[in-house]
Amino acid sequence: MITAKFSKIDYSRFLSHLDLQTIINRAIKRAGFIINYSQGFNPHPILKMSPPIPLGIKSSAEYFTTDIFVQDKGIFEEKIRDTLPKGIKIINTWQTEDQPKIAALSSAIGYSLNNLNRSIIRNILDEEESIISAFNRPPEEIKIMEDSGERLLIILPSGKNNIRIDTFISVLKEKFELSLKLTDVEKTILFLSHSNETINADKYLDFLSEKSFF
Amino acid sequence: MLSFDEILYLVEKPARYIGGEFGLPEMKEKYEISSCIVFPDMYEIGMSNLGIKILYNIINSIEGVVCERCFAPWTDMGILLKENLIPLMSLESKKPLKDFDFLGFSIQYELLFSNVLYILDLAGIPFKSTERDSSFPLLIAGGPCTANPEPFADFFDVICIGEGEEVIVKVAEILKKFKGNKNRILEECAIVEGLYVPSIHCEEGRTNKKLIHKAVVKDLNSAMYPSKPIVPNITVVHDRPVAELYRGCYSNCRFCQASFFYRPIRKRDPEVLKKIILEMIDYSGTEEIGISSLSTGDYPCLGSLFSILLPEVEKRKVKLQLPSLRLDSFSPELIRNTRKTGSLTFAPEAGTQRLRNVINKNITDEDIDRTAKIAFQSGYKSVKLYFMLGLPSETEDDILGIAEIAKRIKRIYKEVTSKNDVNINISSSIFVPKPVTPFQWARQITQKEMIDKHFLLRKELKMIKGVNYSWSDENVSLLEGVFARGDKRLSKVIEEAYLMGAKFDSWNEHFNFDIWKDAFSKNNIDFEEYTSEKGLDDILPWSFIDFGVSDGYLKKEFQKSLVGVTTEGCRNECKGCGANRLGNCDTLGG
Repeated sequence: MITAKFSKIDYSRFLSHLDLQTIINRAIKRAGFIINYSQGFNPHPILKMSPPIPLGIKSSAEYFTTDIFVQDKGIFEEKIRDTLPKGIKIINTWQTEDQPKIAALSSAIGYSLNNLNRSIIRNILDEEESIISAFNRPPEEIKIMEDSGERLLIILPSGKNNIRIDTFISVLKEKFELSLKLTDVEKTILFLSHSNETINADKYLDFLSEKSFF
Repeated sequence: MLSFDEILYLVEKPARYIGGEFGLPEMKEKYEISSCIVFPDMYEIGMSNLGIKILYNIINSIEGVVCERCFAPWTDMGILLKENLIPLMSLESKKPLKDFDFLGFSIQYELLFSNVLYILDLAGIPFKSTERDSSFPLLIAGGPCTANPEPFADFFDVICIGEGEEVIVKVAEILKKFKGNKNRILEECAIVEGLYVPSIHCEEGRTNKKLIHKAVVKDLNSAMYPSKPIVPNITVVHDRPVAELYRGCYSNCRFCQASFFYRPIRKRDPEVLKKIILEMIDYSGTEEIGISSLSTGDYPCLGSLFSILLPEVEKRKVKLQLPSLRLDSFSPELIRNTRKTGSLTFAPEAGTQRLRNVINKNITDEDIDRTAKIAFQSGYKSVKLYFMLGLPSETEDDILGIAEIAKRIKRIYKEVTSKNDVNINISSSIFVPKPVTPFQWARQITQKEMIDKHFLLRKELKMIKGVNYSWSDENVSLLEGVFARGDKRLSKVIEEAYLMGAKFDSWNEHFNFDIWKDAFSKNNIDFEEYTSEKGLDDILPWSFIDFGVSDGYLKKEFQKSLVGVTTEGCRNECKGCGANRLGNCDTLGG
């Protein structure tokens, strides 16, 4: 099993989840790897993706897992680099024995809000409580934090209690009259809920790949 | 005002407009000439078209020339572009169309004419050649509709009649030399074989004298082929790379424009095809690969191609998808080697042997029965049948004959499988007499006749369980017929219709016949002028073009059709159509 973390930037942020699946399958084949197929009446290549995000949201924390065998994950990284369309870049890869359960374990997503000026940042942080209460959720489900540079980090629940980032932004725009653009949003962290802990998906994959080989 | 990036959030399938697909050639940073291939239908249709892939590749390989792409934005995008004053741009570098040196339009279908104006409008380019000075890009048209370019000739500066592969290189060289001097460019283009320059070749009082000779690629084996195609990021209509087996057609179906328009017959050798196909599979990573030609079953080297290809294709876990094969060319081996989950597709075109003789579709009832039997034995459960209504000399019996074929197929299925669960899908289109065919003089039936024929066939087929019937729109069929044999006066009608809102006419949800009716009546033009029967000695709008096939041959074929005499295919013997004057015709190949 190989799991890759990839980014979806520039215009590639407009590629849908379903289209991305086909794109990645083809990219793996172009790179010369043979993907194992599922059993059954209509066998299809095994490919698992992290949960979908709304169309048009940039991301630097997408994941896919594919069932291929490689001697060295470095070779995989090198070969697939040239077979992906513009804007899709592999950031890191992990080789594991077991199939990581990224989609099933995902519990929250961290988004960066970029290109904000100081006054908007102040504004949002001042209104934090009322923003969170606008969603009628337990307060711990939504987090708004100041990040380095002129940006904020927003953490929203994923999975069955999911709050869509585009919904979140439009509430901020309408109810709080803030001028925000979807072009300035980027998904930066995927959190998983693992053994009653919330951890960065990267940590989970580090752990899983170490367990496999040591 | 919103930016282009912002409106991408507001449209359906924004990925249509982003470019950046895998397989884009390295775009030259320094160039003398920039060009853009424009396809006047949406991305998903355009990216399935082989012609533009070929030309895109060739133009980008010319030194000092770059080529980008542009497709018709869907109506939601069109409105947003206009509202936000954003000119229509290319996919690759997001450069406004009006800033290119030349635009190459691919005109595939009569109902796309209004979309040509839709694109020019969004690009901020005046519609008529005479309204554009040297500051605008040179507009070139190509594609199958150039068999009769007159209805849209006023909109273009240059029209490439026939195959563009070699001609486009010459145009690029002319542009390099005379950039900025439109008159000189037109003069130079006017002497290139295959190029029609309406402002120069448009002398008063046309005769049957041939002013323009169709452009033809001499040798397909050495012609450049896009074996490393762009792989779309979204699912397109034909979501697979395609290898072209041969050009032209060995059959002589009298209604078929492509058969006559693309002669002489030129084939690619199996070894060349194998190299192309394997390169396409490895490069594209797609799940399927297609092979294409006008009648794949007639390709003389099909057997040897399959034997060298199939082991390699299977090794790569790729499906080889064949287009509809001619009935009489099916071999059991071929059926075994294609996918069985889909449905078997035949095009008998007419319901009785008599009418099939008239149109020279050389398929017999026995052929249909035999093929159906083989197909059912190898597991097919579904059959698609294509017919035409309104063919010359058609009677009620011919229409009832379609239902007879459906019944026989049902019976054969029962005999083979002892079951009744066969699916028969019948679709009919209305016969459109097309230029460069023996039926170019024939009459197209009226809308009243169309409605009656549809009613009759619907009634007959309703009585057979398991049969689905679909038929083409009568208004669309009428317009197809009018534009196919239209003349220069129609450019005014097209412009009028566009200004009244006609666009995407090939899409049901956008086609509005009332607009077209108005546009014709405002210009005092009757549909019937174009759909009526023509005299054999009439000067037709396309009479000034030499397509290779001689007028005498077409007349002879037309006369044979009147008495129901067939003409054999070209595989064993040359029938003397005249197309070999333009290049070697592979009539005795294989």
